[in-house]
Amino acid sequence: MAEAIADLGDRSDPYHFLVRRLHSLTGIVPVGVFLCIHLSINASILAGPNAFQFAVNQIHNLSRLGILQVVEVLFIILPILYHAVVGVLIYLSGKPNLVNYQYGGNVRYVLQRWTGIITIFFILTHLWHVHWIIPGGAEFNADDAAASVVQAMAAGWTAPIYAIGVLCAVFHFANGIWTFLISWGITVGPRSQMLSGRVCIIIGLILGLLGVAALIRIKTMDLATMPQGADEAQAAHVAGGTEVH
Amino acid sequence: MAEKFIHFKIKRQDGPNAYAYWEEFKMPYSPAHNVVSCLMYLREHPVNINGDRVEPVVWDSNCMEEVCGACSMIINGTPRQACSALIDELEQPITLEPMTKFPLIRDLMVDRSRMFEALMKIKAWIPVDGSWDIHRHAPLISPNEQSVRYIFSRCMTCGCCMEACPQFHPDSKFIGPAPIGQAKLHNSHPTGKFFKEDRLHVLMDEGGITDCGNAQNCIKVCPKDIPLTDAIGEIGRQTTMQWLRDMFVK
Ligand code: HEM
Ligand code: SF4
Ligand code: SF4
Ligand code: FES
Repeated sequence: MAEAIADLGDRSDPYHFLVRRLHSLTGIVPVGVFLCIHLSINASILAGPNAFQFAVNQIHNLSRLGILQVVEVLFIILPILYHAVVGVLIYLSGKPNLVNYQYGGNVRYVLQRWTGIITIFFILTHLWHVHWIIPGGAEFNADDAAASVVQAMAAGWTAPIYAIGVLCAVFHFANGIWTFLISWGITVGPRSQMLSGRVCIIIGLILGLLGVAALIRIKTMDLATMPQGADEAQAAHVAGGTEVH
Repeated sequence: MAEKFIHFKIKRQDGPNAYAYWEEFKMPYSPAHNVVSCLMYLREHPVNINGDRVEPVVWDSNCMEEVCGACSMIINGTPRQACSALIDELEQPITLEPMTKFPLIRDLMVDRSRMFEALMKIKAWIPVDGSWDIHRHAPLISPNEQSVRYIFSRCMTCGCCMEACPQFHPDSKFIGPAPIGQAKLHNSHPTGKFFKEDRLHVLMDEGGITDCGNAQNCIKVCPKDIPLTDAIGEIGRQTTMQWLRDMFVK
């Protein structure tokens, strides 16, 4: 009877496939999509503090609806946590052999794992740095986006750490799209994998460029010439915003 | 003219639990030797580079024409067949090591049973007997499909692709690239398809297709040029479809 209901074979772990495919999927949606949105919003600072404030407001409108925390937990924190935990288990399941086999694919296999691990540490550092209060008060203030970011990023250590962290996350995501397409059987043959590889390189370059450009812009902004404090920032944004629209 | 030699550096181990050690051998050169024919010479003259008479080196071989896969070992760092490794094309001293992913029996001889067990697990065969006449008409396969299938049918279960795979090792349950290639081969056969779902369910379990990490070393080292990554992509696709069928059709 049970057999007639669902004969799915005699499996030692009926959830294995689900766990792995969910790991693969979470890398793209929502985690990868979140990475793209995050880096795009960061890059809006290239158009000036007001544009950045405008972009940040779009996200923080969710908090006016009272669902920002729900969205953050359901679509960002839990999926990253899941992807990271399963990712570490996958990392531990392999025995890298780059010393013996120096092929491009093998290099990317190892980089995919290392960049994943680095990304965990970077995400933790980043959360500790901008979201949780630390001595010195470097904290992101959504109502005073540009000035508070410039202030938070004033310390010297932030430039190399953020550059490494962002580039690792971007490599991991871009290469992850390539392997995702293979894992799900979307790109099967060498020609399609070569073409998808090129597309992934372009995606990686664009995201990497956005990330680094935003970082450089933030590091070179002059606090003195910027709108200061929440009220002034919002007022400037409204003034600027009406101009844009 | 100085006498020419063939110089070997061989990684030896007297038994499964013994310690490993390197031993060097020098034998007189003659043209057109391959690694197996040299090992045969060393079996008759088991004298190492110091002139000590030692136990002959143990290895496995059979067909001598690169079709049985028995003589696989790591030659100058690359997993390949000893019988088709021509001395004149190898840099000396030639290092010989046993493959590292399979249980070692002695010296260069390993036990590849795990691969054959995997082939049984995925039912890497075509049903010819049934309670009815399965092959009433010989199944038709297009010439195009035949030529694709032919390449996969050349797999000799040699283990080179498994040796190079970072996801396949004694502590992992990963079934490895070669059986995935054979699953694709047999799923594409008109009567082989009878077991397609069984094969896919095995490959959706622990150690199945999801444990591949896409390093693509396997395709680089396969001596038979088997497009293993095509098989991995194809089985990825077939398992995706099977998963959806299991979810919505069953
Ligand atoms: C910014 C956050 C992250 C994003 C956007 C991301 C994205 C991705 C994507 C798209 C894949 C491809 C899935 C596939 O091959 O099917 C992937 C794979 C992987 N990720 Fe992440 N990931 C992130 C964080 C992490 C973290 C923190 C780890 C922890 C080590 C990790 C470990 C892995 C591993 C090991 C793989 C390879 C899986 C495999 O080859 O089977 N990732 N990731
Ligand atoms: S592509 Fe998969 S099966 Fe082939 S070597 Fe890499 S991990 Fe192993
Ligand atoms: S796929 Fe190639 S390398 Fe792997 S066992 Fe078969 S013949 Fe050997
Ligand atoms: S002896 Fe058969 S492959 Fe070498």
